[in-house]
Amino acid sequence: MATTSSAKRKTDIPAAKPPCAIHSSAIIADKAQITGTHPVTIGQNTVLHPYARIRAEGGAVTIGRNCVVCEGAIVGTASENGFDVVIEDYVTIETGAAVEAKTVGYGCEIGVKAVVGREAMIGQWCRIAALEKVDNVVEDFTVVFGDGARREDVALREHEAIRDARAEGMEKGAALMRKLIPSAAAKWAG
Amino acid sequence: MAAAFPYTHYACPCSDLTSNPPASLSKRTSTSQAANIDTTEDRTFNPHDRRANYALYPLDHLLFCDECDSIRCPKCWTEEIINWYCPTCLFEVPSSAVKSDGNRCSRNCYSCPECTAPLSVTAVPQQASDYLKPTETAIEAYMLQCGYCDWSTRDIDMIFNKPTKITEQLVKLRKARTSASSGKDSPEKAAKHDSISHDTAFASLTTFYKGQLSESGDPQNPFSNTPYSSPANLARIMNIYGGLSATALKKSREKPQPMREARDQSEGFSAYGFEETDHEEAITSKLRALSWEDTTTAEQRLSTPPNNDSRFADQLWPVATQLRTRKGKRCKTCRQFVSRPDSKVTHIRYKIRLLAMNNVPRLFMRPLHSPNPAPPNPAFRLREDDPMQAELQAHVAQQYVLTIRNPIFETIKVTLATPGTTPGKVASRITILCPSFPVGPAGDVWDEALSSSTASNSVSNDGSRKAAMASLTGKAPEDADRQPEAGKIWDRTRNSTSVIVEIVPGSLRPPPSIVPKTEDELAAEELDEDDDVLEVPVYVRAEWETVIDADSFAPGEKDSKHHGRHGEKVSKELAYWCVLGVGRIAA
Repeated sequence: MATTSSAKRKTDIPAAKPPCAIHSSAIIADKAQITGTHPVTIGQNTVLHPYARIRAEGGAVTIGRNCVVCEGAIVGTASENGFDVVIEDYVTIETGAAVEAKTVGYGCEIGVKAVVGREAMIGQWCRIAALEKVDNVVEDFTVVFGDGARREDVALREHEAIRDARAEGMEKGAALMRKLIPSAAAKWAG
Repeated sequence: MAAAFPYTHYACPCSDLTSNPPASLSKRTSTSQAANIDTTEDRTFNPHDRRANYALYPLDHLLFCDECDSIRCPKCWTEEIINWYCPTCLFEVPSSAVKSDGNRCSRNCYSCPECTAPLSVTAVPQQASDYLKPTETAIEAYMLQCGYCDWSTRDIDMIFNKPTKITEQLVKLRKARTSASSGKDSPEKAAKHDSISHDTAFASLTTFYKGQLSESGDPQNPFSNTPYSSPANLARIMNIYGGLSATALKKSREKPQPMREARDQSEGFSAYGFEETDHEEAITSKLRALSWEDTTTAEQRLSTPPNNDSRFADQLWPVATQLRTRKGKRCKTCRQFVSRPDSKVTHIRYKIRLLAMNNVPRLFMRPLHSPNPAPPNPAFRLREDDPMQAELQAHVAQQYVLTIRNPIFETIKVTLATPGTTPGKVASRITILCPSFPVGPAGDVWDEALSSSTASNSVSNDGSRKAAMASLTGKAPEDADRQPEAGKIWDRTRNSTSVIVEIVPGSLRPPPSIVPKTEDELAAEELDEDDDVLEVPVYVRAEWETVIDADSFAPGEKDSKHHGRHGEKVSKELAYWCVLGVGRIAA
């Protein structure tokens, strides 16, 4: 209920809308929220699911190409002493995850309800498993799972084919989402 | 005891605290039966006895054998495995396969050695340049992948050719890998390292001990070619005829041949050597280079036999899923099933489940003038300053309502017996104002709801509405000033009756005496843990009459003299000790 009403309020009061640079092929669901005053950049083919939230109150939010931000996920810093958040290309941010990290590298996967804190710097091709909390530097190809255990994903590092397959899977997912989610990107334009 | 006050625990009659151990055959004669009953009734169950906790159970942990007409606890039922099944694929595994292949799923069920999540079979992604080559047919390649931590068999360089028969392919790969690794070392070097693989060690140990067994000439089961081959059957036969068989007796008289243990590598024995070898050095140098996360944990090493020797995370093998069992419970005395789940793996229903709470009158107690609000369950105490359960004051008489609820469909006559003072170091006085009373039969819920209007039941004329009011408000409005009377029932609904129990908690400190006490006496007065818990032992005897039907004939029944023809009325009796936990006495 609360999210619905706030979404409505955002549409009613265009003054609260942050300066957005949304690529024309990005899909922003009608119920997705983008709030704050700092600039928000969303790359090509990126999907914002309904009730996904981009908070640009604390700093600019940049989301790269072919990313997916799922329902209930929060990206960006909300408070005064925030900073810029950069999400690189091919990043999946699952349902309910909260990402405040300065950078999230190429091809990362942030699991369901995972929390990536302000001190975190996520490298490329990392995977933060569901419900994990991360608040430090995560090297490339690291899997964080099972209450903070870490493991290097050798298969992913050694085999380019697996990385390609994952990227391709995300592209196909975005293509499907284009059919399923009516884009309301026009609302945030300008 | 951890349970919240007030609680009721039921003593299983199998304990020798409550009765003599069940000797069903010796009980046949009426004289010994009478003697048995006498001994049980003479002794009071002492809830503070050191062994009492092992005999007491909440009612919902107990089962009931309707052949023996008695309560059954985990000590007096035997468990019997009904089937083995894989929890992942829900495939039932026959017991012969379990005996030969071990208790792991031999299909495609594997779990991740890193994080224990189930692995799934996925196709290995191919580079576009590879699979679009027109020259070859498409290469099929599969791997096991963990959905949680992304571990895959690619991590240990393992790819399968087909998505089915993963176990066979794994065994083949394992064999190829172990033979390759041992082939690298020269044979004498391998011998020096004492590095026999787990599988070969196991195989040679098995053959060695099999040889030892046949040498010592002791056949494992002398009845293997008779119809008594199943252990359950055999146990039954042995029980009936008693003693040992002639051959077994002869065997036992002979001096047993000592069995030798394995002592060299050809017999499967391996010893740990301390001498530093290249092999060890390689491991230590590898350890220096790697981080803590790259080494295996003890849990990972013990997860499956192939992992027993793996020191590093990159040596871990997928773990075959362990099978689960589904167990039935049999009464130890008459061997009938008291609980038996459906043998189909996907069904969660029970075929037979004789719960004690459907057969045994349930007792519960609450204070007559309950403090408002009701004392909270300590399990729900969230903060330190939440009220604790009130402690009992010594020498202050308290009245409690003891309710007996009848689960069976006959009117029962209940007799309660309790010692005048509680056994144990703190003696509290107990008086049950009305120790003998009838309790109406159970019916379905609608009967109870309608009983006030239909008045089908003469004992529950006052109606359950009022009883419901009473249970809601603590007492019925019109008898707020009612006084408990000796010999009178306090309250009654269709299938439950309440009586008043008066309890005077005893003092934790013994009365002072003028004569100085000896050290022994002082030591005897010292209280142990939980001696301040006021627990009231109550002996409950329920009697009722029932119409016998042909299949309810039971040889072990106590009232065997009442056995009559089909349709005749017989009286039945059920008696047991239970313990009412009232509260802690304040110091």
